[in-house]
Amino acid sequence: MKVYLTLIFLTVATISQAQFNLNFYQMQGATPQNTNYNPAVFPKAKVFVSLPGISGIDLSVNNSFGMLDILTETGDSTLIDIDRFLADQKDGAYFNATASITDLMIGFRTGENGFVTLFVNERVDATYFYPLKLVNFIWDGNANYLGESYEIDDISYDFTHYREIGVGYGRTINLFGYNVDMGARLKLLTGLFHGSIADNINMSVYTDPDDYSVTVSMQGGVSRLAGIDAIEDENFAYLGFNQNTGFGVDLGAQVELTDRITVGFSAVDLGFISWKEYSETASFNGASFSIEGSSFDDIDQLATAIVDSVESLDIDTVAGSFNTTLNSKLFLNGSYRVTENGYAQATISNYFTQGRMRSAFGIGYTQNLGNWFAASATFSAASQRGLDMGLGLMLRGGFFQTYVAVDHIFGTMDIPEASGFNMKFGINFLFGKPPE
Amino acid sequence: MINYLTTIKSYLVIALGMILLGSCNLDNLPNLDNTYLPNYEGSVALLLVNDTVNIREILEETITDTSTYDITAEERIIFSYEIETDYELGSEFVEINSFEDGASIPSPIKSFFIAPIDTFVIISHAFSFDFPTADEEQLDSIYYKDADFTLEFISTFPYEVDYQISVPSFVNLETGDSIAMRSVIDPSGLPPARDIGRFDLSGYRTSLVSESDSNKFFINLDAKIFLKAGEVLSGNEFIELKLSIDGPEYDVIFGSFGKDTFDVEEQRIDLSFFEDLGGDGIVFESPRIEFNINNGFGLPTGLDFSRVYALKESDTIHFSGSFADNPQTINAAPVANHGEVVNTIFEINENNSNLRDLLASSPDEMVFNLSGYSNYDSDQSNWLDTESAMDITAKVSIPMSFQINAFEYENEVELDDLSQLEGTQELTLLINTVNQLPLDGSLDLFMLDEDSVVINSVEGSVLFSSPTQFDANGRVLEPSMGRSEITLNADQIAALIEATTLKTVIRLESYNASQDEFVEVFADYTLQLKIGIAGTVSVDLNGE
Repeated sequence: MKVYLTLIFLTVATISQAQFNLNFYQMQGATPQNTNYNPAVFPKAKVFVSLPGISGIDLSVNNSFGMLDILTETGDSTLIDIDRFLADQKDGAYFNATASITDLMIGFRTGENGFVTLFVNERVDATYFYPLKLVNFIWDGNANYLGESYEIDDISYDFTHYREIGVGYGRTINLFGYNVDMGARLKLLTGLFHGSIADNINMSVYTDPDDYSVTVSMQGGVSRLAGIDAIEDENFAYLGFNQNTGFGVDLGAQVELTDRITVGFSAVDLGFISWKEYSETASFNGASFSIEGSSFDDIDQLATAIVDSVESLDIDTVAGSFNTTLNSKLFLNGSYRVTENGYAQATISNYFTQGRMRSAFGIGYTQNLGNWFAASATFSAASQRGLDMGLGLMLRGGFFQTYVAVDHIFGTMDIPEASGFNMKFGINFLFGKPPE
Repeated sequence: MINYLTTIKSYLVIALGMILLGSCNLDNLPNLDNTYLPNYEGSVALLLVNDTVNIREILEETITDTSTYDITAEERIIFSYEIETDYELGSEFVEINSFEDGASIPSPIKSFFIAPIDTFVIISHAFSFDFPTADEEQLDSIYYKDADFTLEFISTFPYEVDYQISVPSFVNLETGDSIAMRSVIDPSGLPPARDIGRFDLSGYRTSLVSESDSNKFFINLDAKIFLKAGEVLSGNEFIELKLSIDGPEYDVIFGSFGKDTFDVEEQRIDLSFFEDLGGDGIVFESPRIEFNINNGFGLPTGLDFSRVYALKESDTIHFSGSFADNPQTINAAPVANHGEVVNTIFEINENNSNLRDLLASSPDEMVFNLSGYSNYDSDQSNWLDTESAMDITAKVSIPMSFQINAFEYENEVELDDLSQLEGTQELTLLINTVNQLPLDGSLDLFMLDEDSVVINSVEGSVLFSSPTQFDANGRVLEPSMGRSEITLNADQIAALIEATTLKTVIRLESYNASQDEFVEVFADYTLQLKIGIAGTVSVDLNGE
């Protein structure tokens, strides 16, 4: 018991808190992978090629709390301080992990103002909202809620692994006298795995003060699952192409208002996936179970009886299709060219997950040196977090480009306080110089 | 430009240095080698037991021998035990054995005699013999199943003897002929001459006449001795008659067998029912023992119950009351209806005995040592046949109508390690009942140490209460609903942790037992019981 609890809390505590890719976004078109966040940008090259496994590795793990939010030193020992943890946590606490791995990406310029990108990316996005009300209820004990209907409405999770195959086009146009960089990417999506709760489960726990029987009933909540059975069936062809298809769009634009001031936005991962293969749904609506004791003969089997009661939860799982939307991101950006190749920037990042929007704001500075160097530093602030810093660095020698970008530097470096981890790195191959 | 790059490079080096020198703040990393969880101290309420106890199911589960109780169509419960014994030894009443007897008749010519002419000497005599019995019972007649009857005629006359023997007391039932034997024997000058007749008595009847306290049967002898002129008799001649009956077995025997005593084989009734109930102090309203006796003997009998008793461990509780004071008469068929079995039923109950008190001691078993007296209080004629037997069946019936006062059911449970409850301040047991049983129940809990010394206790907690409304048949009209709480404080919880044994004593009292009222428990009665537990526990989550 202790071991499991320790592992759970330490695992989530040593990974970190929501990343909003502010720093990487502010690096603009420094790398081909920047087009994943803003399709209106293109690297300073005529052609680029990104290869699988080495070119685009984008990992991010976020948690609502850090190690010191759950651990308290008591002399030579360390207490897993559940009381303090529950007191400090706020509604909406979550754990999120994302990964974007470049399978293949090719881009080339078309004339002086246009460019085309072709790409295949693996995308993983998993978010789990901590059921703090449930944990709080268990930790307090149900006797504190005798005769009350204790509502638990914070059980939610979303996990999706899909592959995007797309084509992008961007172009610089003059619109109403302003230079406007515009870009769009169209993506054919192939869903591989999915699990989520649609329509939040409202769980009600009622302890009868007259006899201490416990009734748990649920309203709403549809569990959706896809792809898992394909693995059990060893249907590996499913991992290539399948019927779980969708469509996505990335949009971006930047307007050069003056010689020094540029504003822009990008909205990426707009789209949906229609899950039809190896997909099933289960409705929790109206489901309930009661813990109503055991017979005298089976009193030593009370725990089993409780488990049986829970397992008696009548949930109909049916094969069926369903649609999911992508977890979209919206970036708003403004920059001021301080020097010839130096930009002060402000960025707002909004992430949408399961209908909830999380936002962050960052200001930073990006310095470019020719085509071979770009460095960016960003100070960010987000709700439920303090200030932090992100750093990004791109170096290019000839056609060889390497880059690394880390958000949430302070949080990541301060492991005891760390609540998140984010890193992007890779090696790309860039050829030629952009038109002057 | 170079300077500019140098500046940037310097900043980068400084920044990276700061990052590396910061060492990720590992100095403030908590000691992860020795982490522990806090005690769980939630306030928990849980329904532990939710059960409906049905009397019929309890009986089925606890009394494996279903023959020991009956449930009537009206759901009445009657505990019943039966004993059955056969008493077959008619020989204890009348015993006839092999015997021999004989008589001689002297010659009517008492002195030396020479026949002057051809002469006949005539001898005619009627004999009576005793038919002995072991206990000198008076017998009227015997119908044989088997026996060998031997007659031996002996003559010391030196001349030819023409004789005839008739036994009118022995008659062939099929032909109506009596036993007879006739012959002529001639010793040819070398007396004695003898002649033997053997008769199989099966199918014969011997009629006996009671004379002088003995049973007589008769034999007639006629003999003629032929003497030629000049032949001589010494005057000492005689004729002798010998008889024997070997291996007599009768089909039927009639007579007056007199008074005798006999013992019925001891029978025991196992009353483990009381052990199943697990306690003392149950007074049943109307227990009874019904004796059903089929008497195939032709003699009325008195049965003595004064040696019936009950055993409770090493204690003996004797049966008493008017029923035990005098033998009970078992009727018999008269001679005219010989072969008929007569049924006699009598009942022992609380009115003619101390049976209620005897069962109130919750005996382990009842022992029936019955003695019988033949022809008890009777002078009628008797009969016995080979099929005669006495079947005695006793059925103990105990209707589940009773009165209990301070009935205690004790149970002891070895406790596991409850140290995880250390620090728990209070535990509350919440008991809800819907009770049809006409009983009040309360619970005592005793925490015992390894020497069985009471460390602490919780006493007098109400478990359930009796309904108070009954119909004319004694059935409960409405169940009683009860709710009670048993609270263990910190000291009692500490004692529970320390204790090795938890002793529970359930005390039961029937409705209005103090008013000497009886209540009846029906098989379809139920006790719905919900036991919940609540308390702010302190559970060590770090226990291995």
